[in-house]
Amino acid sequence: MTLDTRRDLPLEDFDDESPDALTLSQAVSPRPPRRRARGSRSKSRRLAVVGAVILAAIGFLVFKGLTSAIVFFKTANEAVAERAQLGNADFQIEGTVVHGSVRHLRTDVYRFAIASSGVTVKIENTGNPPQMFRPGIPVVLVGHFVGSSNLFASNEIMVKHSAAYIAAHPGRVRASPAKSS
Amino acid sequence: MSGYTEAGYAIVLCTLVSYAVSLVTRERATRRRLPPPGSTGIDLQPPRGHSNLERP
Amino acid sequence: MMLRRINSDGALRVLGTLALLGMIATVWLGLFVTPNAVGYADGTVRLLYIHPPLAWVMFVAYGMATLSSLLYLWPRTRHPRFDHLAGASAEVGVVFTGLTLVSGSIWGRTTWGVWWAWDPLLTTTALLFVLYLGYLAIRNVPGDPETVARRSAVAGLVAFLDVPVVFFAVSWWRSLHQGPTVNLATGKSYVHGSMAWTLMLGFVSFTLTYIWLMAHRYRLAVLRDREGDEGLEAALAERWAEAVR
Repeated sequence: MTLDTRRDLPLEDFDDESPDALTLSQAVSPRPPRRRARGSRSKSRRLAVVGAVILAAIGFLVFKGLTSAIVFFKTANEAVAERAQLGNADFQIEGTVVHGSVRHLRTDVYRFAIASSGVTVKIENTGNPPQMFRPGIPVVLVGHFVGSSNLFASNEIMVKHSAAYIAAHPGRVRASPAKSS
Repeated sequence: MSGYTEAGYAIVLCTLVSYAVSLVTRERATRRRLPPPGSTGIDLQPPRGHSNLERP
Repeated sequence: MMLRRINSDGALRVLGTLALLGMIATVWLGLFVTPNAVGYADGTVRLLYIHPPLAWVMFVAYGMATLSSLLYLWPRTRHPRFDHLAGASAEVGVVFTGLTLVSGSIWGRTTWGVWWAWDPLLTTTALLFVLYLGYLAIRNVPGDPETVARRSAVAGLVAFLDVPVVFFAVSWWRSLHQGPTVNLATGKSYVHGSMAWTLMLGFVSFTLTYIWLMAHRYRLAVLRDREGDEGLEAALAERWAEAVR
């Protein structure tokens, strides 16, 4: 619909070269005064460029919305169920970090497990996890299954957090972890 | 926390302040170009606060 | 009309002062007084006091723009003032959407660990930003004033289609983003103590700031309109003089 609105705009009116036509159109139609009419050709060109950029951006974002955003992640149990179809393709997997599963293997390689609806997936992540990463919280990982195994190799960890904000008491040494929604 | 949060506050506040300042200056500049109000019958409140700007 | 009362110099000045004081208090409480939250690394919770209020104003501004567009399109209420109001509110809305995206991106970096994700809420909000930029561009396409106003009002309604999508994105689809901080249906939130008060103050001050900015943008639009009319009259008089000579 945005396209249609733009198509029937009388932009060409301003590109008229004939001085007579210009005078006539200005005298007859309620157009802005002369000082604006002089800059109107560059103005309409600028508007066309702006319009094209905006349309391209809308197209790109709608595409992203339909491809990535509709199903932003698969939960661990869904990923295991669809293991065969997923192959070694990249996707986002979600689950809660299992308590006591986090191992620091090498400089920036971490191993842990995530669980969702009782199904556990082992993760090998390359890269340092974000500050809020810890057992018991839900995370979304970007990566793929390795070979034909159920090991998921990830290279990005996104930490989910709930909309609960509870004051930390500085006196207490260990604060209880925030509840996840 | 390496200043990210503070930078966020700074960006938000600076943007809002510059937008507000640009609105006020553009409004003053337009008022200065216009003859005293009341002649055209358009429903704008008489700009009492700025009436000294319009009289030379 | 309320619009006219708000639009007077005195009322605007009082509103501006209140908004400014509220903002200063929000920033002071938000950055220096409120405690850290459980589970958040040092200070990373502090964007809580400005990010949800920015997003809230974004919804209010686009709601106002849409209401004004409808009032302009409805023949019995058609008046240039609603066109100006729609444009003013949408422009302020675009500023707030930009700030929502930027503050959210920074908050995402410090809590989620990423600047951006193609998550449903983030993607539809980015789309909303671009849609309203397009609306503002369409407002600038020259033409006969009434045609421009009508075309803009229709474009405004088209852009609004994305607003409910953004609003419900978190509940309709799987999102990295947490649910709404304040549930509008029940009024419930899980923000505790002084953090809740500061957030509340943030909502109030950002809303006041929105009204102040929108009122000034509206006045600018009315003034520009008058300037255009007078310029046109002058130009026509000039042409007439040339023709007679």
